[in-house]
Amino acid sequence: MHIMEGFLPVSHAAFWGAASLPFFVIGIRRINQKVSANPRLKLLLALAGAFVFVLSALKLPSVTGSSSHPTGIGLGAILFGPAVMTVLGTIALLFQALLLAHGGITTLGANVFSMAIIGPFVAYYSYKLLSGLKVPAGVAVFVGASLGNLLTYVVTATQLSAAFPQADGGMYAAMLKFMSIFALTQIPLAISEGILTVLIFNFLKKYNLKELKDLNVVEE
Amino acid sequence: MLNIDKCAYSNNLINVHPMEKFIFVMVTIIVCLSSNSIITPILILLTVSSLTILKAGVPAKFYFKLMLIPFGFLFLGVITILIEIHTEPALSFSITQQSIETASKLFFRALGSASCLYFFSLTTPLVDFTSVLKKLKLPDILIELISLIYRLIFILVYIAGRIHTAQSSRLGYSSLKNQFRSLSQLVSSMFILSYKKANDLFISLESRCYNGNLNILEKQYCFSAKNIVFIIVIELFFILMEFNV
Repeated sequence: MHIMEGFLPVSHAAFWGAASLPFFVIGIRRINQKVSANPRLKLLLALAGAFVFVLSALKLPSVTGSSSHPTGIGLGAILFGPAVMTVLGTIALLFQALLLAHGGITTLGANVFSMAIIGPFVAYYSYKLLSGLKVPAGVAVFVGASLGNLLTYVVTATQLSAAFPQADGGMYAAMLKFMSIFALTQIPLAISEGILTVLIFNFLKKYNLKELKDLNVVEE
Repeated sequence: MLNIDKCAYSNNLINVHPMEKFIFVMVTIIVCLSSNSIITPILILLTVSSLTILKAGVPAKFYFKLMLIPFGFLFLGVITILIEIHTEPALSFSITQQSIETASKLFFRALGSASCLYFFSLTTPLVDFTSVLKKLKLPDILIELISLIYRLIFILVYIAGRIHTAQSSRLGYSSLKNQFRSLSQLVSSMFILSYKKANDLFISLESRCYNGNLNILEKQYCFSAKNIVFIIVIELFFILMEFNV
């Protein structure tokens, strides 16, 4: 869930921007290293960024007909690696703010922190951990993608409750409120994103195994 | 889907220097966010909206539709802040004077800043925005990725749109199970097609002596004294309103 433009006070917006900056700088450095070694990767990365953006603009299947979008975090992180995803996710979020009116410029730092840093890292490492434990690939992808989505929302709820603590009861009460309200929308979303990512991954493995192996070059 | 982009190229403020628009928008957003009253954000909302509709010539209907996009989030967020929850002694809910004040201030502050963001995105094409980023001395690789991604988005949207049409005309989205199946097929074929496109693009660039840099001529803009004076006056006005109330 994107925090909309103007929802966070200046100090909070600045804080989350500063918190995201080191990850972003590391991501840029890593991309620079890879690109100078192999210029072909620059275009591949650009395509990956466009892919993440278009993915997030697609409509997620739902029974109620509400329009919700996949985050594409899990898929992106598993395919391209978390550090690269931070930079690509930041650009995708910037485009979402400017081209689709989702999110904002001052809240970019906070959204990057939840969706382009915490989400991808959680998705990637839970996927790696589970596949290291010889869990079936489908389960590992499902857990990675839905955990990435869920954690994103927990971080967003934390950011909002830190900005707007309740007068009595403080941040804890605010956290309770935000978590319970957004849980209604986010838990079904996380599950359907998980299922979708598994299906996509199966198709990719069936037909595009060579490209997936190539991408390992991009990853590490 | 990318109507905002279309508007950015076809509005009346396209020839204004992008840096002027950027500074105007950023200063206004900061004034709006730091404001402690309810008047300044409302004034900003009204001024910037009328600038967008009257001066830039963005169709009013389209503009209001855009304003509705963040409403779902805004509504949920404001309601959450409005209603206070207590767990002791028993679970109870309440609305206090203070929570009404916080929620209403937040509501207008968010709308006011959103109107500024829309003003920028509706009047400035992304190509101009990258020239602003270049002046802000951001890393070259980032700016290059942004401009490449921007160009590639349209290819992918086109591919995804065609696949989606083909699928829906074969009842691919008729049931929930079909929706999942079709969407995952769409994404995976989009992935392979975009992979191919990236390779093709590289081959075509390399055959034209690509060495890692894309050098593009930028459109030249002039600063206008009139606009700068206008920006200073209007920002001073907003700030004065803040202290008077």
